[in-house]
Amino acid sequence: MNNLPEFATGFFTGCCILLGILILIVMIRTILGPKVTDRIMAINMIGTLVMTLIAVIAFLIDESYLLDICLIYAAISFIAVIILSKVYTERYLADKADAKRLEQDSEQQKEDEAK
Amino acid sequence: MIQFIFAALFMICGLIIFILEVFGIYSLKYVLNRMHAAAMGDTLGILFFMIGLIILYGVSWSSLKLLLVIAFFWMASPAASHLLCQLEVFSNTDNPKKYATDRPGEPDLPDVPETTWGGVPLESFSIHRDVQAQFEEEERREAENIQNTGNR
Repeated sequence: MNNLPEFATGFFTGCCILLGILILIVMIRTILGPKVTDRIMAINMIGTLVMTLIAVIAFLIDESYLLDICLIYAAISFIAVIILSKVYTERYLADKADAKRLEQDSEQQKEDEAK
Repeated sequence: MIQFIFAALFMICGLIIFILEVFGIYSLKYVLNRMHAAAMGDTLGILFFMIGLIILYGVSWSSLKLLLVIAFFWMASPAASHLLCQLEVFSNTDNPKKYATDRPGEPDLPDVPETTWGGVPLESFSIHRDVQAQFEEEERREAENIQNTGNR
């Protein structure tokens, strides 16, 4: 922070404010999103923006340990997205398998009745 | 001073890409299109922003941490996007032919796989039916118990 001009702090604060506004706008998409996939995607985007915000703040207050938090945040947001999509995928596949079995059962019942 | 100017240029590029990303998820209409905009910010936006911060930090351990963030995100983000696309394809029950190609001369892509998923048979995912059967059996047993006690 030695060779920086005086307006550097203002520039970084402006970056923080802009990123915060973007996070709020993306949060509206999380609420509006018509499907589950929209919401998970918006959560992923919020994770990216928050990581950027943490990196800017780490430089602004000159505390480099915040960058470790940034790395951990990336890992946790990645794991959250992976687990959510896996769980929902298996849920939909289970529903599909149930529907298929019910169809097979009804066909078998019709065959039995015919006999 | 010149260091700050270069860093600010990179950071402004990153911010512009973030703004385009947020504009994209509102202007595009379908999830798979929106995911394209989201992936752009995840890779290019974060690359520009972190390069700006790396220029500010110079050669230090903090720069290495920021490079690690970029490397991790470039590996993690495509995997997450792939799983999300898979979820979208599996959960779309309205029009299963939507993902087939309609170009002439190309054969249609197969439908959503029905029998296996990644080598796992689809029947192994069916949990609700077993739970329901178990529940019915418990009800039957309770009814039998009530009958037995009534006979006594």
